[in-house]
Amino acid sequence: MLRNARQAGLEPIIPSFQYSIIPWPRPGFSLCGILHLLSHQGGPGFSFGGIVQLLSRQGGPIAKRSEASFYEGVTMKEAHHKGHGKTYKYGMVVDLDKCTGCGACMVACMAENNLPFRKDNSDRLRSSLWMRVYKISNGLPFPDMEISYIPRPCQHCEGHGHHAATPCVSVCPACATDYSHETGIVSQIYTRCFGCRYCMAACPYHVRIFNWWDPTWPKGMEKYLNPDVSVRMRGVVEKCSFCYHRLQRARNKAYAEGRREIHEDEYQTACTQACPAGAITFGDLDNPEHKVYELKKSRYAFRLLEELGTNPKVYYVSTRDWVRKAGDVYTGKKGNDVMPA
Amino acid sequence: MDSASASFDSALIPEGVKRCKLKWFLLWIGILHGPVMVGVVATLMCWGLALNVTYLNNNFPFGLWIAADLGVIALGAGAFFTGFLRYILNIDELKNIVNFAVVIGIMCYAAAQAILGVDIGQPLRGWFIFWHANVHSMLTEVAFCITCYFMVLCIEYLPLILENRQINKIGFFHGMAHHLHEAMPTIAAIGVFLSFFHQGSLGGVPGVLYGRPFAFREGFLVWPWTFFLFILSAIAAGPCFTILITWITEKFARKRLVKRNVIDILARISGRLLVVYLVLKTIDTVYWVSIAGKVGAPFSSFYANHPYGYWVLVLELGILGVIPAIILLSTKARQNENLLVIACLLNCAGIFMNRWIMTVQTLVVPVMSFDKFVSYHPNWVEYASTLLYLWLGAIFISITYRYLPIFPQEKELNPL
Amino acid sequence: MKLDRRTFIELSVGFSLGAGAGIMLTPVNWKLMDDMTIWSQELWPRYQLGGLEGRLPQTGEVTHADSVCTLCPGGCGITVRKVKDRVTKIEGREGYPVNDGGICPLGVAGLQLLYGPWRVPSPLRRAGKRGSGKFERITWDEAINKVVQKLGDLRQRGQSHTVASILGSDRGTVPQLFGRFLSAYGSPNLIRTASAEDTYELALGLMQGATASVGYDLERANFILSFGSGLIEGWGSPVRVIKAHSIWRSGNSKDRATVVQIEPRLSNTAAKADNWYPVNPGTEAALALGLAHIIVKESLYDSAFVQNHTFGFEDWSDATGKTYMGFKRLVLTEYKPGAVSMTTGISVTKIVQLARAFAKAKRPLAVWGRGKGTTSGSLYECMAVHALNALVGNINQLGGVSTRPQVATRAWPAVSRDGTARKGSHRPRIDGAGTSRYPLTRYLPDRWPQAINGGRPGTIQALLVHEADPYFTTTDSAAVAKAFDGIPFVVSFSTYLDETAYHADLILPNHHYLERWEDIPTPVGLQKPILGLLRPVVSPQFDTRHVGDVLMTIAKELGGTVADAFPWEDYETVLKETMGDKWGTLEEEGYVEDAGYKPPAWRKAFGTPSGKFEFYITAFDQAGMKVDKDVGYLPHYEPVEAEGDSSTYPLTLIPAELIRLADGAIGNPPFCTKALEETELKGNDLFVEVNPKTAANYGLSEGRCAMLETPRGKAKVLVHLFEGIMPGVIAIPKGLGHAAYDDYLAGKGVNANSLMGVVEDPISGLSATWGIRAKLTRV
Repeated sequence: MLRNARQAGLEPIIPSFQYSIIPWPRPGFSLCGILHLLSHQGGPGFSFGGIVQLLSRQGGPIAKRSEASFYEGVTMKEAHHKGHGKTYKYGMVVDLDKCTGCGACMVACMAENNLPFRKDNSDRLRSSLWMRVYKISNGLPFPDMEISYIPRPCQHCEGHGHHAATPCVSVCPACATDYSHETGIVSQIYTRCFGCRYCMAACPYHVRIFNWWDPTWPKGMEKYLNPDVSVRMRGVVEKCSFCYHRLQRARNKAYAEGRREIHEDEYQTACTQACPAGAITFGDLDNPEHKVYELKKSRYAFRLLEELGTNPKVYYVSTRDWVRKAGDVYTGKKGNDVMPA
Repeated sequence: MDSASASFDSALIPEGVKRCKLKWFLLWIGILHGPVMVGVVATLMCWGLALNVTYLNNNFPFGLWIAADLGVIALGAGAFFTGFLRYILNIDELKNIVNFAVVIGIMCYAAAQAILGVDIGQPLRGWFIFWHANVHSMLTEVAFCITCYFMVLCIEYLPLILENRQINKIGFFHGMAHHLHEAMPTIAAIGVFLSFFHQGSLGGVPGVLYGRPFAFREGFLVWPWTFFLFILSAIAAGPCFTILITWITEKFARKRLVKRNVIDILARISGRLLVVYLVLKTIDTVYWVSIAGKVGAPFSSFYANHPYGYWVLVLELGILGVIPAIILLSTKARQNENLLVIACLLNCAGIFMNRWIMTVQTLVVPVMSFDKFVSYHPNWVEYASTLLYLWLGAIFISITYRYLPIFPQEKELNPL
Repeated sequence: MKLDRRTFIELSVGFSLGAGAGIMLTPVNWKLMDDMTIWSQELWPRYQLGGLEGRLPQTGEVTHADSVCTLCPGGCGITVRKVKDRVTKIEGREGYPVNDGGICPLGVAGLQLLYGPWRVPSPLRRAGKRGSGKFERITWDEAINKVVQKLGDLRQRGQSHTVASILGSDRGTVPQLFGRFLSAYGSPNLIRTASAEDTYELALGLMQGATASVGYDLERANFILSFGSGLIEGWGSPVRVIKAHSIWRSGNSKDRATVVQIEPRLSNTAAKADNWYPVNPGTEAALALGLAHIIVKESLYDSAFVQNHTFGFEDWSDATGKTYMGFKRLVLTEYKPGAVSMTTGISVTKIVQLARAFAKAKRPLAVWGRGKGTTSGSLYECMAVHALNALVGNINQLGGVSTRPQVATRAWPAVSRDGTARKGSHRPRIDGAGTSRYPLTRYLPDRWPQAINGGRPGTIQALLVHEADPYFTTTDSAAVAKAFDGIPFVVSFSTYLDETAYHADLILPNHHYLERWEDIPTPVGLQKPILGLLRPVVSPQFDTRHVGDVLMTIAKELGGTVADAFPWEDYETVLKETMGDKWGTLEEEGYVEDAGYKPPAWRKAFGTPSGKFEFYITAFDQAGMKVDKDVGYLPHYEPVEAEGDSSTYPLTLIPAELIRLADGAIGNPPFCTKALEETELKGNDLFVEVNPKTAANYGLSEGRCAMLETPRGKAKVLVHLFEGIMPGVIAIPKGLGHAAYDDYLAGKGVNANSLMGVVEDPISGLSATWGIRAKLTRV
């Protein structure tokens, strides 16, 4: 199975423009923007910033700077309309029976997404980890103790029913995070976030990290930074994006080849690709041709904090009963069998 | 005042009242600059070195600053509520304290905005809350309203400045002050409207977090019950805060500034509102237990980790709620100055504690079953940068009291 | 001016409206706002990011290139993603026979090693005291001249045998070049760093007459009995084993296997096993033999194999009529379940159940090699486990154990040696391997410090180190440090400023693995021949040279027969010529594999004197080894004592090997250190795992600081209460305690090797240390 985006060799040449700083669709004053506004709750609202950005597009009255189209003739707007009307629900199924707790997913995510590192990263409360592997135990004494690992990326909650919005999206005061109904991915605009951290308070999964420091790289190390992913500065919130930049690349490639759809293996997250145990599967949860479609239906499948109604996109599978209890809401020190190990 | 003991700045001092010598005043301001400098250094550290200098972390994105923000706005509710009572309900007596309430209000709201300036990770982008406003977020509403309300407070403060002895001599300003006074009921009404919403939205901030069973409340349309509880607790505590600061000012000034019956009115209203609040809060607590239970979070889990035990509830509602309510409801107790001050102190502390609980304790309570319990406490940088506004507030009140005629009854109570 | 009410209102309203309209309608305002947006979003960050302007990742053409990862002996294929000439990501190579797309955390973090500040930027000469970290840059000519001068001098004085070389591996063209060099130069001292391979090669040599290491057909076994092997923690070829593990865990499918882990602590492998047997540390061999007892007693062994293709199962007599005990009698008499249960701490019921389940499985497989397989271990223990495999008849079978095959490459012409070389090469090795005391062992990597410290001065006068960090990885760090002091000339070819390089006199940095050509022989534990090709995917980032080229230059400048031994122009020529007809495929595909390879059938498989699989080792006598007792010729439980007396040191310390913590020749990159758990590292202190009952005895609570002391050293540690370890036993992570590299790694934790000593295996002389006695005191 081809997990990375190369079907026939080279990837499309992307001229200098960090397009993932502001992932599309951009909220703004356009017909589309109004439809967005009217069609979903919890969405970003009407924004003055959006007006200015519209006016400053190519040829607009206020040309911001040369905004090169990133593949001849394809502007972001057109690319967005490529799949107009069709929606996807990108999600993940993690097989906890296969997960060995090796941490390759964590490190691959760090490498792919330009995560910073410090001399002392031992304080997990301050360290930036988008994909984080938790270690849990069944709380029994020797020799009956069991441990398991839970890799936890951003859950890309959709919310449903009574809570029709992603917990973090509806609370962001600056529209710096948005739930895309087209892909199911919760985006983050680092350059718009001003670091109020309300979204961090809202998220029960602790997926959101704050940049407590400016990132620094020892001289020379900045060479391995991935140009597809923005480098974040201090004071902004960041989180797993389901490697959104890879989706963009895959779509651009498909468009350049005259296709509308991308194949399952053309868009895979870095963690999925790296996992040596093959414990992570990623794809469109709604697409019957994708592996996750069937996997999520397993009778051993569960989601974290299902009862809260966040409707997350990450499913976990475990044949061990006590591990499935990890999805429960915290009930007190001795309440659950599951404990942090 | 005879010219022999006249202050250097006596021309600026309101007519018919006595103020201490300028040198003592400057000394006082100078002493306050000590702790102010500490606060300034702490603030500069946050801006220069980034927020790692605090004890905030990814589990505790909200800490002392946010709790203090919510608390100080709740306590500053005295401004709008006194205005409401004076200008809308026409309780005439309150005209003798409404100016000071505005002064306290400005101090509180300025502090709130300033603390936000140090709390957010990118202060230079703070204006994005207006530029890229998200209509669905409670914080957006808060930001707009407190900014507008701060402007309202400034407009309400303006006549006081214009009535300074020297400035008032200028006809234009005198006229302006006069017209502002006439417009005051309208301005106060706008203030009440704005305050109602932002006090409530601050309650909405924790109340909409459906990912946090501890904080989440159902409600009325988009407004969770905490929206209304926050408004109620704010107007119950605001007047008490006004009383408290007045009392402190009187102690520093060593004279009575307001007649007791004015204080008594505020205290009585505060007591009644506090009782209503406590009743509704109790109902809400019971209801909250059931909705948290529905998502599998038993009530006991909220208080299962040291140091957040059941004593928190007892303290907040009992010692800091029922006791001051009893004192404030009793006429005799209200007239005992010591008891009154204790009641006000407990009430304000109770409201502040409520804000801490709704922000910090919300984050303390683990949600995922395998979450490690972590506790939080602020460090000196957070304390200093918060208390900075206490000292600055003291400076502000001192200057305002010295040069501006805030207390209409001062002359009467302190004949020269 | 008088202001009446009307004017006031007019002025206020007019002013507000006018100002409002003015602000809204002028573009200046909007442009300024937008500029502010841009400034605070994009320009200010560039300033704040420490002037990274120009250094921020530039985008460009994206290409992919394939190579192999050499950060451990696993040999995974990798695909490197490049943007222009920068490497931005290392990913597992899809379809590569070892790992098929998967990668381990260390592999992904390889980029931090390529571009990191711990790279040696050019040849360096020590400029201060050893270990001070003061080096000065010199040219390649200067560096090579210095080495040539030193080595030439030693050779002239007839001291060529005092030169030693420590390598991470002895297979492949580069180690072969080193071997050739020492042979032509006149030294027998090629030392390979310790690993389970040492013992396995010996065991296979003795029991099967093989000259290869072990290969396991893990993927097709259906009952894995692991004696302390960290199967998912980096044992063998880590990704390959993890993939096999996923096959074993594949739900209800026919590929599903039962995994049983035998080890004193709840490692990840034990946690994911179907059964965990917490055995008393060091008694694994007893358990293996206890299982053998049941298998033999209940006739559950593969009689076809045992009766026709093994020697020494039954008692036997020699020509003189003397009878010798066979393996069968040994296990039946000495390893009854009761006694074994007493020794190992596993109940009789469990022992019996396990033995039956193992023997009755369709394709059972017993594996050995403690932890990641980085320590040599006890020979008898290895033999006992291998004997189990023999009993169930899985040698060279589907899902069984075999020897590790290599892809055949062209042999090199013999070295013609001069007198000095011949004399020198015939001198006894300084580590004692191959001497009458240890006739069968090839390398004794944990003995050389002892040889220097206990021997005459000048035992080793020059040390060349490549792809190894013996200063850090050798057990008993105090002895190592002392030994280093006794070596007057140390040369490191390391790419990184590791501990050995830090204490070297000269560093001649090799290219990083992404910058060079090299052949990668069949990775550890693989059962099929695979030859991988390391190829440069970036141009050298620093002033480094390929160690093969450097070594040949040194040889050529030494002149004479030493130079003659290296007729090739450069390393690339060596590589191409050695690969022979495989080079074409190698260069194109990046690897050559023989997917249809099958191990030889039983009748052709054993090169022992008896021609069969030997339970009773006849090679001992043939090699002139002194074996004390009769039982010494058979796999048996020979307790390897942990150093220290139990009254002073009431606890037992064992190492814990973690997949997120590199503990070999490579220092943990920052990303991997970042991935460590909060219960493993905090600030600069590491945690040791202690059972809560034990901790309570010493008044130690979670996170408490304690002093850990062993007969070899002491260190301050933090305590982690862990129910996954038995009372009385403590576990310490291996891989921390570096003093070299830089702030991202140095100064963190304690080097577990500094707390352990060497307990020699009585037959092999290799280090059979599995732990040491210890004590914990509250501080």
